[in-house]
This record gives sequence, structure tokens and C-alpha cells, in this order.
Amino acid sequence: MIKEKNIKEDVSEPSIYEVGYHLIPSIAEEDVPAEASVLKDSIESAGGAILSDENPKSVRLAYAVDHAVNNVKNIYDSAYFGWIKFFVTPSGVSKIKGFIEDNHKVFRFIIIKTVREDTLAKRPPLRMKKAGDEKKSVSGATPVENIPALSVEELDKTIEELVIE
Amino acid sequence: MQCYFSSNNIKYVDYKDIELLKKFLNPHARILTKKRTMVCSKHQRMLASAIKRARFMALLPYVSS
Repeated sequence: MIKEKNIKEDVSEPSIYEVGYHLIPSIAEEDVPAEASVLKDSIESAGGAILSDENPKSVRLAYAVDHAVNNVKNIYDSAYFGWIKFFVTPSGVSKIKGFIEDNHKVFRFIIIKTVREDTLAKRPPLRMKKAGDEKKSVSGATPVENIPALSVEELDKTIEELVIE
Repeated sequence: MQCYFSSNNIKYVDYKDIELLKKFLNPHARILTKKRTMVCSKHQRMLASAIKRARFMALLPYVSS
């Protein structure tokens, strides 16, 4: 009984979400902030509190994305990508999802659970292990230069000595 | 060598951090194994999720020739 109550409370508890979206590239650059504010208004109307956001910027997509509006299929290879981080209840998220789906200027979006902290902070440079690193260390253990050069006769002599022993 | 994310106290891998995520892909755009990335299991899972989200949003390719 207590467990069930806890689950119900968790379901209605607000948490931090983030929506990332692609606006269609045919929008004029000066109208892009207005389209972003439409999305922000829809989040606020669903009871969400906006924590941070980034205005949409033009990006080249990694692959062509198709999107059908009124049975007309459009293919996009660039878009205005923006994101909004907000604080809302799970029921509010489903409302926001509905609003964005109805907005034909948004052709792809993602809603994820996230954290309050800035997740795009400056990072130290990453140094990856190269494929040849292991081989180098193995060859470094037995350097070829240190082996003395032997003539054929000397080599035969040492082999004979080893065989006698 | 320690996990890059643990050693730099990174608790969350963001799908928008494309330049970082690209370093964990091979030339075919496949996710590198944790043996090669040297990332701990927890962060490797977070990294894989972030890459898959970035792929869905067309910020990263699914395949690359």
C-alpha cells in the first residue's frame, strides 16, 4: 500500500526535461527567434518553467531527413537546431509533446530527462589510445639495435656449443 | 589509463556535444568498444545513449562511407 502511494507521488512529481528541435530551413533567419518563442510559450502554457535555452542555429544535418505535412513529403538536409531546458510534471510533458507535434515548422524533436547543471561546459581535451600504441611498447621491450651482429661462422659455432651443452 | 568522464568529474554525457561524441566513433560511424575508449561501464552506457540520441536528431550519421 505504502509502495503504491510512493509510486503515485513519483509519477506526478515535476522533473527537469529538455527538448531539442529542428526547425525547417525555409524559415527566414530573422523569424527564427519568433518561432523559438512560440515553443517556449507552449511549454509555459503546459505549466512548465523554462530553466535555460539556446536560440536555433543553422546546422548541416548528418543525413537527409524527410517529413510529411498534409501528405506532402519534404526532405531536409539542413535545419535550425535549438533546445530548451524546462521543469515540468510528466502530464505537462505529454501536453508539450502534443503542441510540438502539431507545429509544422518543427520537423524533428526529442524530449529527454536531464539535469539542472550545464551539460555543455568546457571539457579538457580528450587523448585517445592509438591502434599502434601497444605494438610500439612490445617492440620497445626488445630493441633490435642491441643485438650484436654475428657472422655465419660465429653463428654456427654458438649453435654447436648450445647443442653440446 | 582511467575513464575520461570519471577523471574529469563529468556526470552527464550530452547528445549535443557532437565534437566530443565524434571521438568515440570509428571511421564507419560505429560506436567504439569500451576496450578502445577506456571508458568505464557506467559512462560507456551514457555515451552510447548520447550517440544514439544525436543520430536520431541527425547531428551524427548512422553510417559513414
